[in-house]
Amino acid sequence: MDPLLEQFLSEGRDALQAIGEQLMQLETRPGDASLVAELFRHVHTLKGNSGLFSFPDMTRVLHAGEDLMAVVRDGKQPFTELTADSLLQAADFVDLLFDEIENHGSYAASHAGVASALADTLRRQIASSDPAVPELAPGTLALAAEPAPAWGLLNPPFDLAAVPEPQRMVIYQHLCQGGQVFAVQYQPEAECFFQGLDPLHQAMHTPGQLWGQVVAREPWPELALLDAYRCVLGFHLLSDASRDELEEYYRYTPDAITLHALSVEDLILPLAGPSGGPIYEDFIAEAWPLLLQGDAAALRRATDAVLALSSPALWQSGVLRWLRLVMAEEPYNYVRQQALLQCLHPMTLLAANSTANPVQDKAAVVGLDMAEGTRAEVLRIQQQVLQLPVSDDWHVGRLRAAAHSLRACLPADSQTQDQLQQALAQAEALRSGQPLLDYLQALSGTVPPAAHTPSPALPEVALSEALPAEPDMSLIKRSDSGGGLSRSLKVDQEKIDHLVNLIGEMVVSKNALPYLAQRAESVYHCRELARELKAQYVVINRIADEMQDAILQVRMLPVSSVFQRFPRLVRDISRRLGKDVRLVLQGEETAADKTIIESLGDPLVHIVRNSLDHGFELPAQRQAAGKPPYGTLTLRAVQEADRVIIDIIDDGAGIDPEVVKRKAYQRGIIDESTLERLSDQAAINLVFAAGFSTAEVVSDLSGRGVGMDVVRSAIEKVNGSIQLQSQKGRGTQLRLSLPLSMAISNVMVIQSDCQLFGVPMDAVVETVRVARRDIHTIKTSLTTVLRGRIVPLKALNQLLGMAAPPLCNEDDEFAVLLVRFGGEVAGLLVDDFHATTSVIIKPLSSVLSGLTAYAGSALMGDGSVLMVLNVKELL
Amino acid sequence: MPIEFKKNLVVCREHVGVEEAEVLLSWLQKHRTAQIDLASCCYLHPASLQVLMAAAPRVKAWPEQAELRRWLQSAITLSQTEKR
Repeated sequence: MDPLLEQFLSEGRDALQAIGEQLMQLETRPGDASLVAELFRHVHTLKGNSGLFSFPDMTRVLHAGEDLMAVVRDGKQPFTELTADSLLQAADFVDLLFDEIENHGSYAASHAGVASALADTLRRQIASSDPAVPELAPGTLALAAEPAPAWGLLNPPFDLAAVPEPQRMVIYQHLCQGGQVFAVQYQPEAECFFQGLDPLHQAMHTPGQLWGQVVAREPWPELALLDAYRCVLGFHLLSDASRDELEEYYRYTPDAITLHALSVEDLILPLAGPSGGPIYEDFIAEAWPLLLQGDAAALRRATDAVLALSSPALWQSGVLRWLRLVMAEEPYNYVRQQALLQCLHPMTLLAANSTANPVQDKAAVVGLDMAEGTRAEVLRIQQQVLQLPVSDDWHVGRLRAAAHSLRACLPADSQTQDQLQQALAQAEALRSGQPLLDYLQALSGTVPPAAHTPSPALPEVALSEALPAEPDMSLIKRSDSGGGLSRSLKVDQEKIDHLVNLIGEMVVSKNALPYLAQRAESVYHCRELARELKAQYVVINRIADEMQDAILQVRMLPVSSVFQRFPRLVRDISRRLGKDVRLVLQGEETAADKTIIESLGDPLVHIVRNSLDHGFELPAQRQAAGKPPYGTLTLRAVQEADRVIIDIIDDGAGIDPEVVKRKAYQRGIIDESTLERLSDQAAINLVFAAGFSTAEVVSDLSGRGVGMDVVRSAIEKVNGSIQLQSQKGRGTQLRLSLPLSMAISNVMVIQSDCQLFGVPMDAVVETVRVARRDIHTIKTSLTTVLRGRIVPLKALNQLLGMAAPPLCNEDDEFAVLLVRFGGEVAGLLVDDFHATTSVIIKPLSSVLSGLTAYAGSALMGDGSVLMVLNVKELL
Repeated sequence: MPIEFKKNLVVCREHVGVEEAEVLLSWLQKHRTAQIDLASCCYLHPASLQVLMAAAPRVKAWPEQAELRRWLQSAITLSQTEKR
């Protein structure tokens, strides 16, 4: 993965964590301005950083969150629970995206919908409080809608007359063959140069670019007043790339882009030019009947002939060239051909023909009905014709021609026709096409293309809102102030694990030195050398120990990394249950090995959920019981010797041993006789039994019977233990005891049937020698009495399936290793005890992993392998 | 140096970046009748392009690179016609 992205993810998660925590704190202290400011800063930083990568959805949500926080910070809106809820939701969403990015390098496109919805929710909150901020529809590019369907034509965002005719013709052909071409208007923000954007480069490399032009968005000021770094450039582009490609390409500046799918009408724009002589009248007189008769070949010949005679710069030549092209590409589109032909009409011809109704005649001839869509096309072309620049002496003729065409294709009712007549009269009087355009506009309710307003739908705010890649001040600050460099280092866990493995090997090989010293003395009889070796060993031993300690320290994590998720969890769950619970965290700085801390997470969540669901009463019940209406849940971590103790204390209803006993009996976990003699403490411990649940109803929180037994086995997997104390009506206390580190364990080496085994020191209570006569047999079990207690004895050989009987020493005493498992003590009959040693226990892998009798294997100093027993499984 | 100023001619070469815009602007402010030679220019940052569009100097030579020439030609010519 890209190291920058990796850093972003790691920092982003920290920021999310901080955001979550501060939201929690804000709920208790809603007026705290410094908290709000800090929260804003976190959201802002995260948003800014996310802009460095192509995660527009993430940026969008964060941006909306930032805006909401800005409103809260400025005191325009109070911080409410709703605010917190929506921001937390947004944070969760971003967290989800982080997960996906981490796993797959990017996230699924399907999140865009959620992102829009979230951003919408956030923005609605701003909008509801501050009417000055217009509600934006986030998640959509400012699109000029779908290809113009019919008469409700949306116009291209810029004047296509700027595109040279040959190029327009090629695009027209492309469209006629079913292709799609977009007109792209790109208007970068004025400040874009400061954001490191290069809009020219971007525009020039637009995918599928067919044509492009740079324009100034405003008139150029005096050169002396020009600000070179305030971008006033706009870019007009035509591209045959797909909408998706274009949106993807401009994903960082969606608000600066206007897309418009070109329709054929957008392209057929005969250019303004000098007008030719009367030969065109003759041509029209000749061509019109040909068109009506559908004689395309003759029409084409006539067109070619006139074109050959005309100067190509003439306005009419342009029209004729288009006519020829349309005849070739759309031979059956008579409406378009007629419209073009009518464009040729010099003004004088008009009156004579005005009685005819050519379009409808035509419809009769070819048996076509004048569909609404085609009429719309005619109207549109006329609209364009009216807007074309024209010399004065042509003007009236143009107006009349247009009015004529309109009259021909509009409904023949007297009202419409009268209005048209009025408009024409007005237009002639004013010598302007405007009244006719107004008339057309009134007819259709659309904006005339003349306006060519670049994307009227784009509010000003949209421009200033754009650009997720806004450089973040805190980033800049970090990079240029050397003193502020972080003193902590983020290191890949694998590297640390490698170090741990290396130091483990070193400890083992170091342990070979005493053997070597022994050999030097016993085999080579060099006592001097042996002594020196031993001295050297002491030094190496000390350094190795320290090194081991130091490396293990690196792996240490504070429990706060597990605790930090609880404020949110407690808040959410207690609110859902209608309970009022305050969480107290203590000793968060207590550190333990990463594996231990990580293994704590799920059990703790389980315990806390249980406590919230079953432990705490509803506020009313609490008050009735004389307790404060709010419950207190305490999570406390302390270090005791080489173990971490974690207490989870609630002041809820506690566990009723009677209920537990009854439930356990009902579920067949205990039998009737046990039910009678079970002590209260033992009864409470029944909650750890598999399949036990006191909940009457299975809720989504707990009560599925996969409860405390799962917790217990998870804790025991990391060599931890769990204790439960509860007083009915007063509350419950759970105590988890965990080793500080998993890597190095102390084991006691014992010998049995000439083999060496290790027993973890945690399990060892004591070693004793028991005389044969003190061992009694009760039924088939061996027992002995030690300090007034009956201790069951098991022969290790027997447990491991070895035939040899346990050996005793000269005094006829057996070696008994007293071990603890669960809450009980038992004695293991072994042959002999050896020293204790610290080893690195490696779990058994592959085929051996099924052997539960062993906790793992360890390498001894002399190179031999020591099998470490799993006492709990063994007994 | 991507920009070289001669008596009444500015020659742009290779990649004219964002920093050059300011220099170019102040020089063109003093030399209102200057000509510009873009022949060996292969890229122009839009900030500098803005300056050229606003100043609309006479162009002695267009870039040799076809794509850039097309873009610059249309932009600068457009602003020149607007100016007049």
